[in-house]
Amino acid sequence: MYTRKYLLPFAALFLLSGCWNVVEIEDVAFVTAIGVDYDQEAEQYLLTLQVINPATVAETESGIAAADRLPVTNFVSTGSSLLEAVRSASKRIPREPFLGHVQHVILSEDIARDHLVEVLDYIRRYHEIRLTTKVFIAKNSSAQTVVDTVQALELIPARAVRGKTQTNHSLWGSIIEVEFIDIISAYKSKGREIFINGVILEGNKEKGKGKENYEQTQMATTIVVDQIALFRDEKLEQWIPSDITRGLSQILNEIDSTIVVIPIIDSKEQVSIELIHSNTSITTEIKEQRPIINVHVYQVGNIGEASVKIDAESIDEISQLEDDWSNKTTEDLQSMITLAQQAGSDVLGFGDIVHIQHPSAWKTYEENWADHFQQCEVNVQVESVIRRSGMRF
Amino acid sequence: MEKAKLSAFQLFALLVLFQLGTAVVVGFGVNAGKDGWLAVLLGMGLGLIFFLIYYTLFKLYPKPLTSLIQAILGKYVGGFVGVTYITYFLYGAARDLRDVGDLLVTSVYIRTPLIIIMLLHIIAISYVLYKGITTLGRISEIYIMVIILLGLFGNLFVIVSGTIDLNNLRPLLDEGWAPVLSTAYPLTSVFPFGELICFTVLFPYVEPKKVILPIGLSSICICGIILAYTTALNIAVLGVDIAETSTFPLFTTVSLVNIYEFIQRIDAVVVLTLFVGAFFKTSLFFYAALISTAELFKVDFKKLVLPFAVIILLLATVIAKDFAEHILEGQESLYSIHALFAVFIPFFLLIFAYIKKMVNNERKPMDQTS
Amino acid sequence: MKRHLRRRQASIIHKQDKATENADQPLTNSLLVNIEQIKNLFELSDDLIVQRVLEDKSQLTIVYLHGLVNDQKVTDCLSLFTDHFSQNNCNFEAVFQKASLLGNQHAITSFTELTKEILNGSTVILLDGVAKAISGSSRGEKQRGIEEPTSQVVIRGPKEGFAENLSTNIALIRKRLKSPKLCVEIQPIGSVTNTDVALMYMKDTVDKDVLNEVKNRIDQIKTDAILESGNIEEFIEDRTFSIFSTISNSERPDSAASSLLEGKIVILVDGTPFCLIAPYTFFQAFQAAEDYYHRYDIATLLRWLRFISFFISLIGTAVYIAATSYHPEMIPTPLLLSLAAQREGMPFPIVVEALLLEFSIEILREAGIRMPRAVGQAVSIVGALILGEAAVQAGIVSPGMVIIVALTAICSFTTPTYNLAISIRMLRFVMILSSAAMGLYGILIITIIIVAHVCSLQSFGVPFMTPIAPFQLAAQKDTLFRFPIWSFQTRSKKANNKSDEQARGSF
Repeated sequence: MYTRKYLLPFAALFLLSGCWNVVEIEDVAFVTAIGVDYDQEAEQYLLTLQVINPATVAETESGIAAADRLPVTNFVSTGSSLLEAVRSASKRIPREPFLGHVQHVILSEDIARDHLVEVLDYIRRYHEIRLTTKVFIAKNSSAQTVVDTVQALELIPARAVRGKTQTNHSLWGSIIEVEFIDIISAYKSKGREIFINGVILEGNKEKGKGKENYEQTQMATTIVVDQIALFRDEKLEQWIPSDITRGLSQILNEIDSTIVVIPIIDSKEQVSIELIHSNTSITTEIKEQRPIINVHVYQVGNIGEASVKIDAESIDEISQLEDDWSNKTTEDLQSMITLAQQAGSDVLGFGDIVHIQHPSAWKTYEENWADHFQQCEVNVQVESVIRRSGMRF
Repeated sequence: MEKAKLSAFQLFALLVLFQLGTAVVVGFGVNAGKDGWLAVLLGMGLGLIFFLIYYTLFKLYPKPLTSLIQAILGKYVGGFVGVTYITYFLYGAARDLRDVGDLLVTSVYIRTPLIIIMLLHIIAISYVLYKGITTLGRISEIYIMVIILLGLFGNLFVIVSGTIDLNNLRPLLDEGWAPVLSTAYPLTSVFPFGELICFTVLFPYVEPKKVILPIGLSSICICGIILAYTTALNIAVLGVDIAETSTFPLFTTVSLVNIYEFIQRIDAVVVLTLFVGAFFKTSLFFYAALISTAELFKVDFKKLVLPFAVIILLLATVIAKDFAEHILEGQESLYSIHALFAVFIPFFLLIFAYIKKMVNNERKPMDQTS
Repeated sequence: MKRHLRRRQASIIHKQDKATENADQPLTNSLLVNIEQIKNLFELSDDLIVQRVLEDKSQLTIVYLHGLVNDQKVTDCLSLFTDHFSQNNCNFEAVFQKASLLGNQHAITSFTELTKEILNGSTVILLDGVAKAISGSSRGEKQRGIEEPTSQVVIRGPKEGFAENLSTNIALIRKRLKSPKLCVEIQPIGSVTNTDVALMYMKDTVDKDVLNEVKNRIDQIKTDAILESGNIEEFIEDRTFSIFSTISNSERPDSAASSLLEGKIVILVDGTPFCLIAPYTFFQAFQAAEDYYHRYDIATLLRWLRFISFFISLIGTAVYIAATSYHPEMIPTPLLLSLAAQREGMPFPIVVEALLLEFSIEILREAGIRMPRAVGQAVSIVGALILGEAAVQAGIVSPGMVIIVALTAICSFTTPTYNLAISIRMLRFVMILSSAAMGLYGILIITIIIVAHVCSLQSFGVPFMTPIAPFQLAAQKDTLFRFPIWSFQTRSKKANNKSDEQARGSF
C-alpha cells in the first residue's frame, strides 16, 4: 500500500524525466567518413563530414535507381578546434550529426605533419567516435578531395575504402589496418612510433565527385589504398614506398598473403612465389650496452608462376629457389629497416621488445630511443619453405 | 533488525556482487602500472585479513554493527561511533550512486541531468529495501547469474576478437615492488574489500552462522582473482598507458571488440555490469545505514527508507562538482575515510573487545572468591 | 487478503434470500402443507414438477426439477410405483425400498435439505401423513463429454481434458493416481450457488502447513456465488494487487496428477473445466506437460526456447525503441542504415508507432477470441496480414516495427501457462513507456523493480521464484533444464520447501 501511493508520482516522473537524450533515428545524420584538413592561412580546421542518405541506401541495395541518386552527401565546416568544426557543421546539416558510425577518418598531410596530437586528443575525449575507427592519410591531395570521391561497385565511399583496405591487407599486404587505438597506444609508448596508411587518388582528381566517375567502365578517379606514412615524434616524417611496406607488414607479423617475384640470377627469367604463411620472431640482446636486434622470419609459399621450367621433383632446384627467396626477403626487410633507421622512426616496435626482454637496460635507452634505434644493429635471418609448385606441372 | 534469514548462497551472491560491484568497471589497480593485477592480488590478501577482523568482532558480539560497538565501547561513546558509521555508510552509498550516474552520463546519457539518473536508481533501490533483506537476498541470486553470463560472454568476445596482447603485461615488475605495494594498500584492499565492513550488519541474518567465514573468505578469493584478471585484461588489451588514463577501462576494452564486423559495439554489457554491481553496492551500504540507525534509535527501518534515500541522493549530488573531482576524492578517501572506518576502527574495536574480555574474565574469579 | 474478503462478504450477506429463511422448518405430516411450502419456496419456477402418482391414501407425490434429472430414471421409477402400489399398500418403508431404483436414497426431514436435494437434481418423494420425505439421486443433467483441452494442447500425451462435471473431473484424476493416499474433500461454497468445491491432495507428500493455509482461506470465503474456479482463485490468492498470479490453473488431468504427486494441492470447482493448482511458482509457468513426454534433450531446448521467447515478448519492442532512439551506436552499421531508411518520412515518433501497433495487436487478439469461431480465423488473417501490410504501404508504420511487434506477440504464445502470458502482456506496455523515457537504463530500472517484486511474492508460503531465488540445488533437475526422468527418483518436492531456511541442498 505504501508502495502504491508512490507509484503514480514515480510513473509520472519516469515519463516526464526522460527524453533528454532521445533522438529519433530518422532525425540523425549518420556520418560515415570524416576528412580533416587544415587551412594554414585561417589557422582553422576544415572538416568534411560525409553523411549517409538512408533512403537512397535502401534503394541502392535493392537495385532500384541505383545510380540516380548518390547515397552520400558531404558537408564542409570550419572551426579553430575539431569540436567547434563538428558542431558548426550543424548549421549546414538538417539532422543531428552522429559520429558513432564513422568508418574511417582521412587526415591531410598538413594535419599529419603538425596537428596529429590534437586530433588524437579529440578522439580520445569524444565519446561517440569509436576507437576502432580506421585512419588514413591523404597523399598528394587534400582529405576533402578523397572524401568527395565516389567509387563504382561500392557507392558508399566508406565501404569502398574499407573493402580496398581489407583486400589489400589479405591479398597483397602492403598496408596494415590502422585504427585509432593503435595510433594512441603507439603515441603513448616510448618504444614504438606511429604509422598510418595512405590513400592516393589516381587519375583526374576533379572528376571523382559525382556519378560521372562511374559512368564509364574505367573510373576517372580511383582511390588507391597504399603506402604507409612514417611518423617521428607524432609528426609525419616520410612515406614508405609500396614495395617496401610489405617488409613492415612481415616484420610486424601482419602479412597474410602476397606475391614475391624472384629474379633468377644471371638471366632475365623470374619466378613468382605466393606467400601463404609467415611468422616473425624478434629477439634482442645487449652487447657492450648497445642493443642488437635479431629478426627471424619463417615463411612458407607456393610457386605461382615461372618463366622458366622448374623441376618440382628436384630437391636442389627447389632449395636453390628457397634460398633465392630468403635472400630477396632479407633484402626487402633490410631496406625497410634501413629506411626506418634513417628516418629515426621505430615503427617496427623494436623498442618495446627491448623493453620487455631487457627491462633494466631499457631504462637507459628510454629517453632517447630514437637515437639508439638509428644506431642499433639489426640482423635479419629468413627461413623459406616452398610447399607446392603449382597444380599442373 | 528484521525478522529474516539469509541462506549461504544468498550471502555468497551478495558478497560477490558487492565486491565486483563498481571495482570491475572503474580503473582498479592501474596505479601500479603493468603490475596492477599483482597489486589486486595483494590487496585481496589484505582483504582476507580485514574480513577476519570483522568476523572475529561479530563472533565476540553477535549483533549488528552499531549494537556491537555499543557493547564494546559503552552506550554513549559507542553510540557516537555508531552514528559516525551511519554517516560512513551513507557516504559509501552516495559514492556508488554517483559512480553509476557518472558512467551513464559520460557514456550514453550526455544530455540527461545527473540527478535524474541517480534519482531513478535510488527509487529502484528504495523499493527493494522497503521489501526487506529477504528480497534483496533473492534478487542477488538472480543477478549473480546474470553477471556470470555477462562475464562469460564478454570474456569470450574479447578473447575471440584477438585484441589481447600479452606483451603489454611484460616485463613483470618493471618498476619494482614499490608501486605494487603502495597500490595494494590502501587502493586495492580498502576498496573494495575493506568496504565489506557493512556486511557486519548482515551477519546476524545468516543461517547457519558457521558458513559465514568460509563463504566470506572464498568469495574474497574469487573476487580478488576476477578483479586481478580484469585488470590484467584491460592492460593486455589497451596497454598500460591507455588503461591508466581511461576512466572506465573495461568499457574501452570491450568497445574494441569486433568479430567479423558482426559482433561489435557490445559496450552495453559493461554498462549493465556496472549498473548491477552499483545497484547492489549502493543497496547494501544503504541497508547497513538503515539497520544501524534502526538499531541505534530503536525505530522501524521502513520509516527510514524514504528520508535516507533523499539524503543519499543529495549527498551523491553535492559530493563532487564534477567527475574528475569525484574520482580524485575517491582515491583520497581511501587513504582517509575508508581506511579509518574499514581498517582502523574495527582493528581498535577488536583490541578493546579482547581487553574487555580479559578484564571480565579476571574479575569473575575475583567476584567468586569475595 | 483478509481485508478484501471481508469487504466482499459485507455486500453479499444482506442480499440473502428472504424466502430461504422460512425454509428451515421441519416437514409436516400433511402432504398438502408440504407441497404448498415447496411451491412457495420455488415460486415462479416453472420447471418444478410436482406430480401425484397414486390417488390412494398415501397420495404418493414426486417433486423434481425438470432438466436436472435423468428423465428415464424418473419414468422408470414412476412406472414401478404405479405397478407396485395399487391397493393401499403404500407406506414409507416400502417406498423407501423401491426408491432404490433411483439410487442413493435417503430420508429427509427439513425443507432446507429438501430444497438442496431438489436443486441438486434429486427426485423427492412425499407421502401424506409422514413428516419425512425420500430423496433419490436421479441426477442427469446434460453435460459435455470429455474433450481435448483447447488451451493447453500437446502433440504427444493424453488428449483428455477436464469437463464441467465435478465427479467426472475427480474420476479423471483418480484413474491416473490409483492410490488410497489421494484425498478428496468436497464442500459447497456460495450461499446461492452452492457450488461443490473439491480439494485434492496426496496425504503423504502434501505440506501440512500449505494444506491448512489453503483450507483456512477456502473456509473464509463468504460469497453468494462461485461460478468458475477464477472466483475461488481471487478469494484465496496471496496478493490480489500483484500483476502476477500466484495460483496456476490447468485443464489437463495429467498435469493435475503430476502436480499432486509433487505435493501440491488441486482445487476442482463444479462447473469449471479448469482446476486450480497451488502453490505455484514462477518457473512452473515454463513447464509444459509435454516436457515430460518428450525426450529430455528436446524438452530442455524447448524450455530454453520458451525462456528466450518470454524475454523477447517482455522487452523486445522496448529494446528496439531504446536502441533506435537512444543508442544508435549499438546497432551494426548496415542494419542501422536499413532501419533508418525504413523510418524515413514516418509520421509518428517511434514510441507512438510501437504503441499503436501493440494496441492494434491486442485488439486483434481480443477480437479473435470474442468473434464467433467461424469468423475468428478470418479476422486474424485480415488483421495480421492485410492491416499490417496496408499500414506499411501507406507509410503509417515502418516494416521493422511490424516485425518486432508481431514477433513479441507470437513469442508471448509460447509460454505454456496463460497466467504468466497475461502478466507479460501488461508489463510490455510499461517496458515500452520506460524505454521511451530513458532508453536501456529505463528498461534496466523497471526490470530490477519487477524482479524485486516477483522475488517478494509468495504462493501459500512458498517463495514465488523458488528454486532460483532462493536457490535450491536439488530442484535444479527440473527448472532451467529437464533432466532425464530416471534421475528424479521421486517427484521433485519443491512445493514443500516453504521458505529460505528450509532450502535443502542449497549451496
